[in-house]
Amino acid sequence: MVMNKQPKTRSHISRRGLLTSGLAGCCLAANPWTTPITMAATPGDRRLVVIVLRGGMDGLDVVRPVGDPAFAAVRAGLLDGPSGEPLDNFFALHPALSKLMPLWRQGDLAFAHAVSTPYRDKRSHFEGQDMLEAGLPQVDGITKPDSGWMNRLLTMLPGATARTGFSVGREGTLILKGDAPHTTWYPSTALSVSGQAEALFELVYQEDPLFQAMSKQAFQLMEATDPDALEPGTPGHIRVADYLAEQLLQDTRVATFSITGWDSHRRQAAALRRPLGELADTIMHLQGRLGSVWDNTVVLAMTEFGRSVRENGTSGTDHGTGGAMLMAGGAVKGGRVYGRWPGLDEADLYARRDLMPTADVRGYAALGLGAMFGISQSDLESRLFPGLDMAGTQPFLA
Amino acid sequence: MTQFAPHLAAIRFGTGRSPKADDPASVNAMLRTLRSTDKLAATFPIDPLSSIAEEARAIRQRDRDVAQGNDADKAEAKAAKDAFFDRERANGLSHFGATLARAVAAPDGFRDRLTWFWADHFAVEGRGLFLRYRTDTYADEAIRPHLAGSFAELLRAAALHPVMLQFLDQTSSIGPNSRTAKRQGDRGLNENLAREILELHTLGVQGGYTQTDVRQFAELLSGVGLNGRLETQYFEARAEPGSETVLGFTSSAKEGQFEDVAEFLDRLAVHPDTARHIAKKLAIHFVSDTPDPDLVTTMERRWLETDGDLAEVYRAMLEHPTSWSAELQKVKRPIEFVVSTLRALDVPAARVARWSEERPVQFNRWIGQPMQRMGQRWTRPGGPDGWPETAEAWITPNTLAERLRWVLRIQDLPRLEVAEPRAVLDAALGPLAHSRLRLAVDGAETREEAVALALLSPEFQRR
Repeated sequence: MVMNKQPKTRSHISRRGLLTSGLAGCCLAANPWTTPITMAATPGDRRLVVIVLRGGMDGLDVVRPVGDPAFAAVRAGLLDGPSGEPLDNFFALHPALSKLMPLWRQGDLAFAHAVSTPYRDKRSHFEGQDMLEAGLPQVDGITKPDSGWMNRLLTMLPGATARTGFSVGREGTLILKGDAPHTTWYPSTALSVSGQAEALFELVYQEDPLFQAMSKQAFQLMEATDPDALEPGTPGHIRVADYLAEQLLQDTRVATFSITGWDSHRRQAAALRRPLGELADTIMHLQGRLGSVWDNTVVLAMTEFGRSVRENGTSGTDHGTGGAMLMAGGAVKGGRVYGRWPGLDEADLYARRDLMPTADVRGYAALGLGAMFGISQSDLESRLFPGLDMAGTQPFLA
Repeated sequence: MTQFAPHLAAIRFGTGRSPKADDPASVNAMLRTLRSTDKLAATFPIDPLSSIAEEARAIRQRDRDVAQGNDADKAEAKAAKDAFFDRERANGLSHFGATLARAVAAPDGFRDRLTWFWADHFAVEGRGLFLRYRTDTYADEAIRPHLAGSFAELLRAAALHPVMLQFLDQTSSIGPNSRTAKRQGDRGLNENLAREILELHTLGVQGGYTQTDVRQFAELLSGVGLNGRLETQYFEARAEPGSETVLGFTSSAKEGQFEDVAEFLDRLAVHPDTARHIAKKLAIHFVSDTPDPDLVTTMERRWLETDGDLAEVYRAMLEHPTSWSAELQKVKRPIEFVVSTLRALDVPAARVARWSEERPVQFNRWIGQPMQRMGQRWTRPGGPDGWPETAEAWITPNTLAERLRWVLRIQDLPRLEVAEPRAVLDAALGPLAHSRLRLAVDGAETREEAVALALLSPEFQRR
């Protein structure tokens, strides 16, 4: 694990690093390695990093309510493996996140459980992600919302420049979309598709023998033979973390990127290993690279919805409602799982199948923004998160 | 009986569906569009060969001048040539950009698909300092203006275009008994162009011609060459004297044999073997690797009835029921896949063109190089027989991986709005988006992967 290491100087320019967008046709000028950083007035010392966990993270598997008597029965298959790290008397952490335990013990890591956006019932990834990123109480799934809540936040930060807000990759565009200028960086990582996408491709190719025959090997070749991937030795998420840490040490105050691969319909135990590993590595890298700035940092990892309480027939779980979020950083009052536990008996569930949300996930984001950036309650409730209900939200900042 | 289907017209015979363009309404509408003024060629221009004629002449002249000069003169001449070559490389990329932009902006893209078909039928690779990057210029001058006229006009324009003459070595072919041969001694006939015109461009390898015909035709062509201004010219001094007989046609053996060449090409254009060969090739390219025999004979008959009126031959194809079979039998070539993707994602054509001019290196990395890895290095088909036709030739693990990578990457195009997967599916496939595919697209966990599923589906990969 790389910790307390100085940011390395990078002597080369990645080609994808050149293809910065959000600033029209100006790739070279916008490249952080070729442009002298303007030391514009920046809005304070606080840093917010939002990691969007795309695909619907199974909060029940990641932060396991082992103290709930109903839990073992609904998750018998998924619990048949290494047991998690005890967090308190009720919850245990998924073993693939055990790297994060030092943060938990030093009070830099917390979770909120049984949270969700206001999205209900249709359980579509895209609509759910739109809700999460737009920060709105509803979306219609057809028209794209005009702005994301992180962008609206930027408009409220005095002295914000295009470098104050930073996103990585195409996926983060909605949450930072809007009038306030910001910067997007496209890392030159090897491309791959998630396990879920591979399964969907199998479905799509099932009646075309040619494509079916060629696709198996194509997926294997995709990463191995990617000519655009520079530095194939360093995994993409580590480079994203390193790069963002460099930005956060300079002018950037709010940053966002995604980790995908959470849509664990099949063989969840194996499917979650990669995304959980990436999440843990990313957080530990950020902590290591940020040094003392970590003390002023809050990392929020949020997903579009949780997953069904009961395992499905393919050793996985299906789209659900309530789930968990992760908070990390020196500014977090950690070592706690926040929220009110709704219970897992069938009568306690949402629609008799999902974990019942007991707090709006946006409430935790709002609490963070209010305390970190001095955003007023009325702005939080009207401009940032319309329709916000703070019931059930517990203060989590140190 | 199967008949005309607007979405198939756009997908099978055009450059794909686009949210900006309606599907063609009928066969007549498609042919009307094809015959209408080619406005997009003016909007996204490709420089003619004449635009570098004077410079080519001057460079050659200077080469001759410095041959006896000092080293400094030679170095300067070399630098000028290098600069010219660099400019030409940039021109080549911007011409590629214009080629794509036209097809992206096209109402139905039938014109573009025909241009690519014929440019592939009369395949060339630009060669040498002056013509290396002029393959798209060739297509624009020799092919695109002649799509809906007679095949004879197209044949003359393509077979005698400077890029073709250079590619198939006609520029170095001289009659063994010509005045030039007598003076220089060591040069002679090169059969390459004559053979490929008969074997590839007209009669076909099954056609009824012999080695004697090839030889006689090469002699007939022997005066045809390229002048210092990169123009096709007939050089009396290089022509084989006397009369030639090819496939029953006897040349006049008078001065000005160029007319004989043109007349012989006209005869080839209406030869039954030519009609059979090309009718089948068109059907294979547009409809199926194994086309219905009746489709081919219907087109062949129309060819003979109309003396190779191409618009009529297309009409015969488009009015044939098997052309509208619901089964998508062909795989899109990389150029077709790339253009139909840009259309489906609603990428503005003008941006593609501007990009190729203003940021050629990135343009090449984002389009040219991926297409090469998909198996189609644009303007470089590898030989006079052009690109392969079969689905298996285009879809291998490597090329499929590249198609997938490209679809994921292209969504990062600067200033491209995030595509809405369901909208892409509807825009790109319309009625072809069946429920299983919709289910898969809805099931993806990111929009990028959902769009990739839509665009990598057999329904979008095939046509």
